[in-house]
Amino acid sequence: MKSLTEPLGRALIQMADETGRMIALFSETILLCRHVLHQFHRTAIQLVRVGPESLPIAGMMALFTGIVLAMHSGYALREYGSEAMLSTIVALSMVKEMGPVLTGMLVAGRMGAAFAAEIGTMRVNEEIDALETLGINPVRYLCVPRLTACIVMVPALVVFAEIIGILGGLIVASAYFDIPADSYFDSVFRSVDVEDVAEGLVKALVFGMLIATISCYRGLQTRGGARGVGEAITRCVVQCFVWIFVSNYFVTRFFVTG
Amino acid sequence: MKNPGLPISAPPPQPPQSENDEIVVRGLHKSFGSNHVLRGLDITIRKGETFAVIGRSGCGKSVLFKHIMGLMKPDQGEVYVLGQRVDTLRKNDLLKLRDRIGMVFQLSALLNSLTVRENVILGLSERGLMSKKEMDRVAAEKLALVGLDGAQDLLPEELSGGMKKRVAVARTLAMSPEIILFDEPTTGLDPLMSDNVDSLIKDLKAKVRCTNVVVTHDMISAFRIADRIGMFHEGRIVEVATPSEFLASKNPVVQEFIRRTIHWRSEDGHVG
Repeated sequence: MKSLTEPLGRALIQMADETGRMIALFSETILLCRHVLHQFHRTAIQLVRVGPESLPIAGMMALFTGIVLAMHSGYALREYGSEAMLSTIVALSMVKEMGPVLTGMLVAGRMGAAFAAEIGTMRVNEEIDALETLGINPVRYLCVPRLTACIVMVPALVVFAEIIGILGGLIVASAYFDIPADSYFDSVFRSVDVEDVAEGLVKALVFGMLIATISCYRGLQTRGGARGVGEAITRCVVQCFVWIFVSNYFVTRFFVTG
Repeated sequence: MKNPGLPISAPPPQPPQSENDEIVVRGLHKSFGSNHVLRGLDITIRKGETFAVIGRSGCGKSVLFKHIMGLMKPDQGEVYVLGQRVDTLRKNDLLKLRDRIGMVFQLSALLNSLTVRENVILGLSERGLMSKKEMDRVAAEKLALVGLDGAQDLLPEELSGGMKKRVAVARTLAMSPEIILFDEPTTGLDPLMSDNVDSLIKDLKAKVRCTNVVVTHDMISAFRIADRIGMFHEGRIVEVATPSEFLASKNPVVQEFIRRTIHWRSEDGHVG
């Protein structure tokens, strides 16, 4: 029994320890965000990487998600003669759930992995030690621009993905179910209210903060050369996905139960 | 913790009482898992001297530097630099102290995404105390000092190992430190380039007048540049002497190191 509980206990302690360290890193980064204007150039680079450079892939993902969502719901609703409900299902799914979660996963896989790899490589090449010896706080230099970029750009990407996803639904609605564009949009605007949009944006904000914090933490904790960098990337992406799903539940519960 | 069998000739230093003691390390212990790297290390380095710490690769010399810079916390022991106890300093005070200490890393540790000029002025630009024009002047001046004028717009990937080391030295000099720590400055360089780096360290002593601490496993290099040499063995300094005293040392660890170095150099075709 001891052989079972001991590793489990150790894993739980390690998880609690890591979570505490991540919260400490997040708090320090948020406090140092007051220097963001001094880091304008580096922040602008990260803003472009997280935002505009992710647009094509986010657009593709959202478009086909909207199309598939509309097809599934459209054919299911046809059996009950309720195809007109298609736009409501697509819009609410995209705004409240699919848009934020899929965009979060996309940014975690694309930028979270990149952040962990960059910072991890800097760690193993002693570049972060060099920053410290020059009196530069690595959290300010590396984490502040990345956290700022994720806080600003993940919600923006989510809004973009939601719009493209709804447009994907329109393609299916008009091509397969003869729903005119004006009645599609009319139904969308009637079914989506401010609270739905707010739920999606809060999720996007939380995911952005999680992705930046986890990826920076994993990068800063990297040890052991190229293999260590590889491990840091894997752990970063897995942890981002897990925390996106977990936090998605809590934000949803908050909005559903009020 | 002390091994009575070890031949220790260096007396344990006291906390700095004299202005001449710029670095004082006392009873320093550090372990990584089961690997006990530093085992009660004692060392005193005086103002203005070039002190070489020699020993085999992987014996913990770089770990000593990281303690001096406050990048690592000791398991036990005290580290005083420029009169301040590093291991108990708060983060902000440590950052201020680091303004007065420079470190040249074994692999140069240049930021690969920045040009040579941007690397040299990195510390200055982050402080925001100088105009761009002034920083450009400092970069040009420091790069000229290390013999790299004209390399300002190159990226680190376009430089040789020796040039990277020189840029790393220029970056350190730009901060006008009182102490410069060189971590294995000649590792990975060909003999000609090693000579160049050694000459650079000697020139710096004459031109910049700061305290230089060099950790190296290259004894020939240590003899060229050092005023005093400390022999690192099993996590402790077992001998501190001037180069000539060092050669005449009766300490068996020192004798063995000298014998093996001469043997290796003659086998490798170098002058022993």
